Formats: sequence, structure tokens, C-alpha cells
Amino acid sequence: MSEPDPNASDSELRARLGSLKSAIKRAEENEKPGASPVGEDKALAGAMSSGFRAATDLAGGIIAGALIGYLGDRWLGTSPFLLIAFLVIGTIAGFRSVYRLGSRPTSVSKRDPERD
Amino acid sequence: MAAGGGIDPIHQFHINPIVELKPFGLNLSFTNTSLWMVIVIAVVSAIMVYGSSQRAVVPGRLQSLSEMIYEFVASTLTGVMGKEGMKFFPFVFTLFMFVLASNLLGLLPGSFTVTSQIIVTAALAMLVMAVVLVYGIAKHGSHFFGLFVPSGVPGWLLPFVVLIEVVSFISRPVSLSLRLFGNMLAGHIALKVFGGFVVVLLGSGAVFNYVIAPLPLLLAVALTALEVLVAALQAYVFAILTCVYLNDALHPGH
Repeated sequence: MSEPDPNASDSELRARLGSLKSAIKRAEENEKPGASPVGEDKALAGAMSSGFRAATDLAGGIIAGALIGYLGDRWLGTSPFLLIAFLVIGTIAGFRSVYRLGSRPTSVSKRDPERD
Repeated sequence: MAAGGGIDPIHQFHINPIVELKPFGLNLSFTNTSLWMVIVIAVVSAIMVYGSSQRAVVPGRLQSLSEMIYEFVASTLTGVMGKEGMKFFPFVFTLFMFVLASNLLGLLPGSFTVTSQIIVTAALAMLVMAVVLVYGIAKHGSHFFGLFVPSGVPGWLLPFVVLIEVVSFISRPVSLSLRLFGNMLAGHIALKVFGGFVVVLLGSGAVFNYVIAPLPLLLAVALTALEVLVAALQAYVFAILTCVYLNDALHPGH
């Protein structure tokens, strides 16, 4: 097999590369509507995950507060007071984490100066 | 339940020892939970080992399955924690695969759902929190506790806010374990109850009941589809929340 002129094969290769690139671009553009359902699935999963999170963060705060209060009462013998106090604190903590969950995605840029 | 007698929706969650083992007064019996954990790990290991052993350029079914799961978990992880979060990839991937496989295998008739036991999910959540605490304190020292002190709070309010933040941190493993446990428990009970309705209606002998018996069956079919979605979704939620909490250990001061 005799090698053809290197310059000629170079330009030939370049032409082939160009046609391949345009073919890939076309294929990618065709695939874009096919790729969007995956993105929608992920958006749905994200939405449902934050929904589940909000529901159980609230319950988790209240339960954790009640648990701390109950165990503290048993430890210190201050029968109902720690339970009541930590139940209130746990409820506030639960609402706070739900609030933070809700405020995170929309105001990322607004939050930083407010917090500093 | 009326006239059912034999149908108990809670019965599927009973833990039965398979091999009794009680050394030194500790109950270390090999139960059906342990058996199904072993099965889950065996299935996950088989899929991943076989899927990654082929290394074909054009992947087969199992190889593309394991590559898809790898890329899914990796993109979730880097989406939350950035590139440096990849050092937690083995941990998050193991948790995700364990939860996903036990949720999905638990949907097979006659199987046992490991994640419907709160002690299992609580142990997983405690493990996550232990990793967060140990890594955060080892990497940032006392600076890690800045997580509990938000900036820009007036001084007189600070003790109260710190108390709320601490309770909020303690509530994380509670809500993390409750979410998975609650979803699995509720879904399996609902499936069993609707399945029980079919049996009760067919066994009652009245003609009208024969006519409406397919309705709960249809609902049970729909619920099964929903449960497959919930099984995958809860594994995803568990993994992404693990990432969010680990992110606090990586970057505590904000």
C-alpha cells in the first residue's frame, strides 16, 4: 500500500472530521427531546423528595424534642417541665428546618448578604 | 377486620429467629431480617461485580445498569457537594444500593422488607450522623460547631437559636430514619389490607360482593406500581439527604 500525499490525506481527514462533527451535532439535537424526560423525571424526584423532607422534618423535630425532654426529665427528675420546654423547642426547630428548606432554592443569592 | 380471621396486615413484619444464638445473655439470633440483609447484599454485589467485570465498550444489560446507577449517584453527589464530595462516593453508593435493593426486593411476594424495621433505618441514619460528626470534627476541629451558630443573630437571642439548631441537628437522624421506615411500613400495610379486602369479599358468599371484589384488586395493582416508585424514590431521598448532611461536614461555616 503506497501512502498518498500527506497534505491531501490531511485535508481529506479534516473534511471527514468536519462532516462527523456536524453529524454528531445533528444527532445530539435530535436526542434533546429524548433527553428531556430524564430531566423531568429527576425534577419530579427532586420535588417529591423535598415534599417528603418537609413532612418528616417537621415530625422529626417534634419527636426529637419530645425524646430529649423525656430523657432529660427522667435523668434530672424534673417531671413535666423539660418535656414541655423541649417539645416547644423541637416544634420550632421542625418549623425552622421546613422554612429553611422552602427558602433555599429561590433565594440563594439573596440569603448570603442577609446572613453575613 | 370483619370475617377475615387469618389476614393480619402486621404479620409480615414479625421477626422470627431462624438460628437461635444467645451467647452471654445477648440475643444474637440469625433472624429473617438478617437473612434478607444477606440476600440484599448478595444481590447487589452480584449485580455490581458481574456488571463491572465485563468492561465491554458496548455494554450489555447488567453492565449498562451498573454504569447508569454509578453515574446517577455520582451526579447526585457532585450536584450537592461538588467535586471534593467524591471521597464520600463509596459510602453514599453503598447506602443507596442497600436501601434501593432492600426496598425493591421487599416488594416481591413472600419476601421480607428490611427497611420496614425502624431499628434498621435508625442504624443507617445513626451511621450517617456518626460519619458527619467524626469527619466534621476531625477536619475542622472546633470550627465544626460553627454549624450551630448562625451569623447575624442578635446577642440576646443567640443561646435560644443555638439550642434550636442543636435540637434541629438531633432531629435529622430521627426524620431520616422515620421517612424511610414510615413509607415502607405504610405501603406494605396498604397493599396487604387491599389484598385482604379481595379475599374477604370473595369469601363472604353474597353476590353483590363478588361484583365489587375486582375493585380492591385493581387498587392493589395500582398501589404496587406506586410502591415501586416509592421504593426507588425513598432510596434517592435517603442518598441525597446523606449528601446534604455530609456537605455540612465538608463546609460547616455557612
